[in-house]
Amino acid sequence: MKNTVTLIVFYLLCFVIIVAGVFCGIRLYKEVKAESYINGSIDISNRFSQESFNYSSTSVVFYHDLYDDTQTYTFEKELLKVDDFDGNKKSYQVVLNDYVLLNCEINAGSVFAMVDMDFYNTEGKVVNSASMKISVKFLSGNTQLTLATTGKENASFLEQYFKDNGIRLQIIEIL
Amino acid sequence: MKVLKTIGNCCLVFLTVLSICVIIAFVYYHFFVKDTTIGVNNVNDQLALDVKKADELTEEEKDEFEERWFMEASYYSNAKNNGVQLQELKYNYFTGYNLTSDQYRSTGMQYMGDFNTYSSEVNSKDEAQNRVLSEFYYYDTTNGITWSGFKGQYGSVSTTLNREQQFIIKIDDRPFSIQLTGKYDVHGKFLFIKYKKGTVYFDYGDVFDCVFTAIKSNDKGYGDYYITLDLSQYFTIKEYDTATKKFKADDVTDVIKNYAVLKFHYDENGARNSTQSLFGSIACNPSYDTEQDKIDTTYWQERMTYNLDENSKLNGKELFAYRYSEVYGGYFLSLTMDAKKLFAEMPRAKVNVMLDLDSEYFSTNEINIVGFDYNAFEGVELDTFTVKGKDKTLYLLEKSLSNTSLQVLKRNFSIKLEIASGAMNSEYREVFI
Repeated sequence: MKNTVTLIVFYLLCFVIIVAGVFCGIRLYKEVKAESYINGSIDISNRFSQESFNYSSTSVVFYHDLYDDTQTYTFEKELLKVDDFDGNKKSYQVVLNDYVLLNCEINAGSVFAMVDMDFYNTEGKVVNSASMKISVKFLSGNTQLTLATTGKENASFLEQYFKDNGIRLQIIEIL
Repeated sequence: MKVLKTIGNCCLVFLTVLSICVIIAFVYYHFFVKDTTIGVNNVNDQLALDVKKADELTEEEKDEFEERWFMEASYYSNAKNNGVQLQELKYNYFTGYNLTSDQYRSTGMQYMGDFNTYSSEVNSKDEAQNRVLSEFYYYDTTNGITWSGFKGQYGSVSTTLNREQQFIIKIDDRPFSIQLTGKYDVHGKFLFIKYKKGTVYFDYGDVFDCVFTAIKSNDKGYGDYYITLDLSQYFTIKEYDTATKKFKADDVTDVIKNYAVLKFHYDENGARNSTQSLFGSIACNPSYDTEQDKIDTTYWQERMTYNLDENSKLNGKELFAYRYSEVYGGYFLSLTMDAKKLFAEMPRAKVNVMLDLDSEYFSTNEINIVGFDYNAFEGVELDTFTVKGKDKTLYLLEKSLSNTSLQVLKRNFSIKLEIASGAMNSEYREVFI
């Protein structure tokens, strides 16, 4: 009887050791085979300057300064520095949403333009005529874009237009 | 029988001895061999495999497809006090392991204010796993529409951002899963005996807070930038095994680093309306606006208005051309070919012409306008044509204003028009000014 119990304990012990050995073996194999690795790569680069002016966005929101009594609504944006703008030596074309703008005032380091837009209702009547000033200043560290309009109604219609169509403003060098 | 039993026992002893050797080898290797393995997972762009590369996209496609990162954030800090403070964090991922564009999905969280995290007390690991912070608005983006179906901590038809959530992402054009699993133990001391007080489980609020701390502390300030975050403390990334079709955790690498690109927009302004949100919605309101009195901006069509006059220039060059006629003793005016081509390419342009024949420009340049040349404005859609001046006769030569769909012709009473046959073919309204 005692021999039988000893034998069973012996077999159980062997079994446990073998099972533990198998697990340790698998783990040992994994650890020995493990190698350092790199999955994927990251290829981002923050651009701090750009070759030509190009601004696009899905919307424009005009802000009105509470202390301003001229009813001016503005959208201001600081953009990347433009490397090689020179209004004195080069010719440029200003394009807003595929519309080429006329009568742009192009200076050495700045561009000013005016946009007039009429909005029609479903009966074909003009419900709003909005004017918007575009100012782009090419500074040493960044580029300042300002869009400005007068009156809340004009600002609202222009916001609606840009919400529907987005904004794509380009200043293209004419070669 | 006895021989078999002996052989069996021998095998058993052999296997047992072998196992002991393996166990000893494992213990030795695991605890005494100091080899280190480092695994790095770089989470780059999340563009689908069926989307063309950036240089193959058209300008229109670029807006839609060029950029897609695992994490995108937007912070309107309201430093100018002209809106509301708004923080948003969006996770872009896939719903399947084919990594195609039809499997795009995004889930994000939005907070109005400056969120500071805190330890959420939980009673069990299970509670920690399922907990969704109720301070945030949650949004999903599927099939081009962003919406929110979050109805509280345990009810949502939008994706819940809790520790159970696993996203499928792309690394090296292969599918991986990513899950918030980070936690740490809190210890106390009693009579120099250190004991475990509990475990703190990170939640999405902790990640949110860290992300916005990173944004606020960036040295470039306001603008749009990309940074690479070290998400190792928070997220676990598992690789998809194509053979077993399972996402498998890496439990043998000593150090696993998870890096992910964060694209962020940091603004000095406050958010004023919902178009500024990453989700097109603020406080689950797609029409959100801080302005109280909204103006009805419903319209059918917009037209860009061009008001042309003698001073107008296109790309720095004169918009009008002048041809001298000895017969008439003056100049005939017409649009340049460049101008005609330009307006032909912009069918929604509304063109008005206003000429002052006595203007400084004409007198300085000694241009005596006697009329409009052949085909002067032909084919250019005109809305209003205004001519100002005194005691003049203007000759409109053949086809000078044909096919212009002219609506209104305004002129001074003292200006006479001599219209050649075929000069105009539109029905217009004449107004004397």
